[in-house]
Amino acid sequence: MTALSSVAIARLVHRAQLHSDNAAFSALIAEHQSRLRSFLLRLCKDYDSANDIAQETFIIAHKKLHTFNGSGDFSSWLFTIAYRCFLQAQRSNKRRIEIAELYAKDHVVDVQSYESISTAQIDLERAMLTLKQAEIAAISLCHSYGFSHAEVADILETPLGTVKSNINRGKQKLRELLVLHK
Amino acid sequence: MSHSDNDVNLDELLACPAQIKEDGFAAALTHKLQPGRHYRLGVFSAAFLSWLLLFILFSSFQQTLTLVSKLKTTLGEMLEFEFSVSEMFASQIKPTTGDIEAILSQPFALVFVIIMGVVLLLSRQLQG
Repeated sequence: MTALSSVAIARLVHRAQLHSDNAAFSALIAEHQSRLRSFLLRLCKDYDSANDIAQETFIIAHKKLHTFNGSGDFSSWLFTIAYRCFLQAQRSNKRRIEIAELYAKDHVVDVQSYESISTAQIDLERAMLTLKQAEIAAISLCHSYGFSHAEVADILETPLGTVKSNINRGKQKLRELLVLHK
Repeated sequence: MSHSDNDVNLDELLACPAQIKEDGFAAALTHKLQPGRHYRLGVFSAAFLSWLLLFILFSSFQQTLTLVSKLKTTLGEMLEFEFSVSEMFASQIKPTTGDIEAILSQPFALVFVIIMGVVLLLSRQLQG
């Protein structure tokens, strides 16, 4: 969850947009980087790839900040860029993704990638490795990062019905896998 | 364990994703996005390229002339093309003040020096 309120984030965005305030944009990076990188790590299944895409996301956001109209949520806008960057990277870096997928098939969670991770969280991340990419994205955005179904549909540029069914199907798989682990 | 208990546990678990390692990511990215960083890099690159090109131009001017004259000669003797790079570089003639004056008297050299000067001035202006 975010530490700053939505009003504080809107103020930072406003400062970064109108006054090209680098300190304000740095605060926005600090605020969002952890959630964004965790999300990308789940999708990429590789710490370095996730960091590369997160970095690219922030650079694009910095360049295109003037196009953000402020009517929507800044986090949604940022996650939309991140998801597009991920899809782009997936298309252009197939080999790296294939290796990460092979690694993921062993269902090994790289605990070194996390600041701290409990046993239950390791079980969850291990179960996440078995899900489809669309299911991981929808469940993470909705349940881990607090976006509504409609916002998730916007971020993933997917119909609302598909998002809901991906969440239900994914959660069902997770439930079964987590019960099996117990 | 009932189905609803599992649901609650799963939702709670999903709501608390593990914290990814910070690794100085934010600090490194902030540094990368600093304004003026690209201009500084531009100034440095322009200065280095200018120095390199001038160095190459002055130090190898004589060799270039030798190469051109040899090529001219060999062009006329298409069938007996004999060109030795080692022989060409063996001469190693250093440019004298007269050579440099001769280079600067060439229009292309003057244009080159002027262009480089303008590039450097523009870079400095952008940086400021």
